[in-house]
Amino acid sequence: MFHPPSEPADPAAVAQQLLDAQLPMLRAYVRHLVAAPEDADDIAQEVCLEVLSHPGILLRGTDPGAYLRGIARHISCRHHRRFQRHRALEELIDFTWELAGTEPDRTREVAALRICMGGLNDRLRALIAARYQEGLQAPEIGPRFQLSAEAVRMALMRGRQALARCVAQRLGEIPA
Amino acid sequence: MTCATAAERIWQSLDGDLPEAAADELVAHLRQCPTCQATLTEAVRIHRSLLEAALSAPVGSGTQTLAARRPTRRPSGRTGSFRRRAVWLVPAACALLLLAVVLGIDARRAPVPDPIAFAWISEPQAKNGERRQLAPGEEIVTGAGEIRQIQVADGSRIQVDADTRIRLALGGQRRAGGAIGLRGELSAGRVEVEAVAQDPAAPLVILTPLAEAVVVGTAFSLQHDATGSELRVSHGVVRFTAEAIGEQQVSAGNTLRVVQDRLLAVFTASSLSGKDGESVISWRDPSRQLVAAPGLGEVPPLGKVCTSRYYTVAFNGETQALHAPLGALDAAEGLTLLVVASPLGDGHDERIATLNVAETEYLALVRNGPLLGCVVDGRVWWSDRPWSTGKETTAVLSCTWRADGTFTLRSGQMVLLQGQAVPPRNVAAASLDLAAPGHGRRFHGNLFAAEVHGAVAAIKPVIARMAAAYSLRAP
Repeated sequence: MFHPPSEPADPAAVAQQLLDAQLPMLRAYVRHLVAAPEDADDIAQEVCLEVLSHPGILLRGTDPGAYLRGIARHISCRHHRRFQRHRALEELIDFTWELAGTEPDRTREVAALRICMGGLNDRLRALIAARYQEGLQAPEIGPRFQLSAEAVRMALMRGRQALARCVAQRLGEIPA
Repeated sequence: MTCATAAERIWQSLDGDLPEAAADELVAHLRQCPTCQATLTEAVRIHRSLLEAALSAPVGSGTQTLAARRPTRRPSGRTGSFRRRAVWLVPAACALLLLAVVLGIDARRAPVPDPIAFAWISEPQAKNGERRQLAPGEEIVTGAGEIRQIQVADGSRIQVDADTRIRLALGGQRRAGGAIGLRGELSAGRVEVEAVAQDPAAPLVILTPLAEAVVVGTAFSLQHDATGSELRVSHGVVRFTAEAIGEQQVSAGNTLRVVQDRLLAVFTASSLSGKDGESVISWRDPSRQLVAAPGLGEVPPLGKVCTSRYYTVAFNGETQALHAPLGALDAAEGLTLLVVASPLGDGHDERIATLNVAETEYLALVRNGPLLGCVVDGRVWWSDRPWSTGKETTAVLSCTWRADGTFTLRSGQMVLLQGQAVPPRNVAAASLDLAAPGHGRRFHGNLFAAEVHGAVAAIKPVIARMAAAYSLRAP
């Protein structure tokens, strides 16, 4: 069969595609770096503008996700870090972040998580929503639930551990 | 540092809440503890999923888009460079605004539901798209004219029609085996499902008392009432499972109905008689077990007994012929006639069992030598295959006439003939004749039992039950 010769790919278009594919991961990562949702959006925007102004840079490496996380880290450090993280610990977390997987496994995992959330009690769901939806920290969440910051930390930890077990069961990684 | 302390500090670290000195200790511990490295991996994984879940709104829930979720609180110390809005927010906000205008949603008044709950339901007479979070295990009951919308966290939608009762719960096992993600137990009424692609390991499943519909990523409706369960698929594929039919893949444009088994009449032979008329074996009703008459000794196998000319099997004690008025029959969903019989000799055009409506043979089982046939709405259809290929000639013979007019003639589970006739209809007065000549000749052989069903979706289990009750071997 005859195939017409293809045009060379436009770097800007390819970078845009890569960026689109990586955007959910990038936004989640920036939310991890800076808890406040609006600040995280601003930093993610800065990352996007940086990439779109120099599209070729994104195409050089083999891991665009790592490159985007690097830019995000840099921008959040430079402008807007609300809390300091230990550098060595942050590197460990960043390394582990990539191990958490990529699409489409991430989609399955997030879908399983949504189902597992339904199994938590209302109070725990509200605590987790405050932490992740509103980007609040334990000392900010505590007064709302009449809990100490330490109690909020413990409750969040137990809730998230329960979710981790539930998700692993749903994905067939451990027996139900 | 213990592993328990390390786990607490890992979560504190992910929350950006860990002091520098504690972080030093944690890093040192993590570098030499594989258990805690695994804990870190698990924690980062669920932390990342929670962030992604909080960022991705369910399909169609306009109020949960990024723009609508923005809190009013803004931290101090913001720099001017962060005042620009995200590039992807512009089209998203435009789309949201357009959607809000089209749907008449007032974003200022619409509540912002928890985006990581498992489902939300519209309130009765809801205005402005008001919804509330659905509790796992909650039963939804709609009244006349009431329609409710359920939004599942994964983006799937379930419309609960009027006069419907459905319970939504998490997890569980399918009847056919396998895990369930979200379970809808439909006890009455009708639901329409529009589902996103499901996790094959734990999909959305809608169950009725008769069947279960396993969602693959599709749109369909499922209805259940006193007559049965009906599935209509408008997009994609649904795995539909019922005891009656096993598992079926139902694709777009198709409808599958599983009807309630409605047994209209049942007759069993009351005794076995020897050639001289002496009663040697009788049925022990209602379990239909064979028992030997006193002094007979061991009970011979039923199949052997009934293929011998020495014995006759009698309905009503003396003769096989039986005429029984059945009255009105609700046959619009289908009609099935089954007999356990053992034809003898090479009789031609013999009526084994006939369901008569007025003077018409409405549904009948007939034989011509070794061949079996059926009469459907007065017309005789013959199979070109013998009902038995071995020595065992006692079999469950059946003719199933479905609501769409198709019919199937079987010997045991073996299909002998399939055809198309007019659909069956409800009849005001019917009668059943066993071993009566009717429009042919009198049946020569043994008849053990006959059953008439108004509708049978599960013909195979019925045949298996009758065969087991009369100790018949599977063909």
